[in-house]
Formats: sequence, C-alpha cells, structure tokens
Amino acid sequence: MIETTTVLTHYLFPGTLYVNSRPSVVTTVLGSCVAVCLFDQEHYFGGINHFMLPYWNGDGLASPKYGNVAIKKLLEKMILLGADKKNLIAKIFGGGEVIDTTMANFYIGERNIELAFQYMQDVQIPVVSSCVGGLYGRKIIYSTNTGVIQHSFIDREVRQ
Amino acid sequence: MENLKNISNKELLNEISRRFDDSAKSLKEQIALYDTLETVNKKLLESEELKSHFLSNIRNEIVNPFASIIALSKHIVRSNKEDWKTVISIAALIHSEAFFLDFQLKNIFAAAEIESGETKLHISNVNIISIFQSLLESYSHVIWEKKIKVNFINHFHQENGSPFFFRTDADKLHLVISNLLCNGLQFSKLEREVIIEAGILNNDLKVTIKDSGIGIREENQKYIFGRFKKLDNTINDVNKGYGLGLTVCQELVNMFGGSITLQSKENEGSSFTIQIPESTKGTVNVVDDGNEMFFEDTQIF
Repeated sequence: MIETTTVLTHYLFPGTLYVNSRPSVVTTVLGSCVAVCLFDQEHYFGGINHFMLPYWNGDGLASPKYGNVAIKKLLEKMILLGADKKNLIAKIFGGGEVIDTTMANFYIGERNIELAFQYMQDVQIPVVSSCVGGLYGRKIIYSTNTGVIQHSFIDREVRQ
Repeated sequence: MENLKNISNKELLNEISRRFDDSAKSLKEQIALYDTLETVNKKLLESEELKSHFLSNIRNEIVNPFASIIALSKHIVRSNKEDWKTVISIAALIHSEAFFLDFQLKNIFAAAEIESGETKLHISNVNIISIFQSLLESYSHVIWEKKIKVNFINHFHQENGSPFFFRTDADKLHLVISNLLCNGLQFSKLEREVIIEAGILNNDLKVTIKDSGIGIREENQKYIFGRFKKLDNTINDVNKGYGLGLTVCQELVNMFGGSITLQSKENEGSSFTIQIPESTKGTVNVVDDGNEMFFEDTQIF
C-alpha cells in the first residue's frame, strides 16, 4: 500500500504554539513578537511558538503569550512527542521595533529577543540561525519536517 | 590637575548638580524596579496559596455535586412509581446540579486549553440571537428559582426579520456570555432585574449584561479578572465556583481581539460589557499565498 504523506498547514496565532510530529507547514506573522522554532535533527520534526511579552507577571492565565511560559511549554511538548533535548536546534525570529517609541520601557521587541536567547542558553539548545530586531515586521513559514524556514520582511506601510 | 584648574566654580557646580540628578534618577528607577519585584513576589506567594485553595475547592465544586446527583438518582430509583411529582422535582434538582458542574468543567477546560497554547478559533457565521435564546433556556431554572426578571434588549434590527449573523467562534462566545450571565444571575438578589443588551457598534458586537447585585467596590475592580480570584473567599451558596470564569472571559475576548469592561458600584450592581470585532479569518490570514519562494527578499534559514 502506498502511503501518501499529506502536509498539514497551520496559521499560528499570537500567544499560541504548535508542535506536531507529522510534516506541517506553519505560517506566522511577527511584529515585536518573537517566535522560537525548535527542530529535532534526529527525528525530523519541529515546533514553534509565538509570544508577545517576555515574562508572565502573574496576571491572567499563564498562557504562551509570555516568553518564559511559551518556550517552556514548547520544549515540554517537543519532548512529550519524542524529541531528545540533545538533538534539538533552535532558530529565533522577530522582535522588530515596529511601533515607534522613545520610552525605554516599551522596547518589547528587544526584551523578547533577549529572553529567547537567554532561555536557549540556559537549556543549552544551540541557536543555529536567527533574524531578529530591526524596524520591520516579518513573515515566516516553517516546514517542521525539514527545519527549513522561509523568512521575508513586511513593509511598514502594509502592516496594520 | 592642569584640567581641574581650568574649570570655573560655576561649571563645577553644574557638574555636581548633574551628577546628583543622575543618581536621583537611578535611585528612582531602582525603587520602581524594587516595587515591581515586590509585587511579583507577592503574586508568587498568592499563587502558592491558590494552589492549595484549588484543591479544597475541587472537593466542594466537583465532589459535592456528584454526591448529590448519585444520592438523588438513587432516590428516584427507590421512589414510589406513582409519585411522579416527587420524581420530577428530584430530576429538576439533578439537572441543576449537573448543569452547574458541566459549566464549571467547561471553564476549567477552557482555561487549560488557553494555557496549553493550543486554542484554535473555529470561525463560522453565528446566529447571535440563538445564542441568547439557548442560554436563557438553559438558565431558566435559576431565573425561575430566584424570580429574576430578565430584560433582553435586542438592537439587531433585521428588516426582513431574518436572523442576524456574525462571524466568530460560536462555542467560545457562548462560554463568555454564559459566564457573564451566570455571574449576573448568581449575584442578583431575589426578584430583581438582569438586563441583557446586545447590538452592533462600529461593526463590533457589543453585549452588556447588567445585574442588580452586590456590586464591586472600586478598589477591588482591578482584581476580579485575576485567576481563581474571588473577592469573598468564604464558601457559600451565592459565591459558587472557582473564580475562573472572568479570567476565561477576558482571555477569550482578547483572543477575539476585543475588550471586556466593567462598571460597578457597591450595592448597586455590576455591568459587564464585551465588545468584539467580527472575525476576518479566511480573508486576511490566508496561509497559502502560492509563490512564496519567489518573493525577492525571501531568505531561507
């Protein structure tokens, strides 16, 4: 019997995450948000999150809207689906300062990026590539079974 | 030393005052940071307390209803078959226990789903009026029991009388309104009025649910959307539930890209308003735009 592999497609909303052991193509659009893409180099599958703020401050639910929650949950879910931490590599995108600001408190993009890299360092997962910061929004398309990410910038004018 | 001599007294004073300003500023920043740290610390302690409180709540909110459902149904089995009036009243009690249990579980699962980050919006054309109708129907036992007058003000004026459709996630909207209505009914006093007002404002769906209950003091209003937050922590009949409902409401409304607001005065009642935009999913967030690979600036990582 011939097995046809259908590729799943998923649009990743902010504050959510996606992990699937089946081949999937995940698209997401990032402004000051950051997405961490994990990929298991031995089992050939991956997962991605999309967080808006660096730390959960105890308000509301501990949802993956917050970086520290989102990365932890992504890693847990990857391991739950059979990934081995030593096989994991990470790619990090986003964190553009898409909103003009002069107030240091509002450098959300920068703080998101810092958290993502720091977290990866803490759990000892190598960040093999990244494209972060800048003044533009981004669109990324992640093929979870190959680990390949297509990345393009979004024009400031076009972005809402 | 050569340089120092060239500085006039005025310049020196300026420099000193600048440095004082700087250190005052950094002190201020440190105090602000310290305050934040203190708040977070407090929340951490609270969350530990909540955890233990949650376990004791589970007993009250899940085990007790089950116990009464079991006891009541046993009663039906043993009852005299001719005595159908008793059977019906017992069945009504079972229904009310099971209904509330089901509602609580829905909130718990919704919260768990949001926390797992795997919530998906299932957008469809939703008949808004039918949501209200089904909710009023399912809460009819509470409305009847507390003799509450529900005033449903419907601003959807469809010219030909056809139902009004709004693109959104039906189940999630249902849960949000259900929570607000449940709160409104729960905290209303006997024989009082609950006003539901629904309509369209600037293309957004706007729903207000106003009760005539105990109200919420202004200093407490900022806490009520917190998880497991109940202003009155005593366990009693009015104050059922986990304090999860409004948190779930807020998270879901945020997911819709909308807002939830509260207006309340102590002893005069509370009024919750949600405003959510119509979903544009399927028109804007199209995943597949074909020739993605051939865009000029596309890079591969």
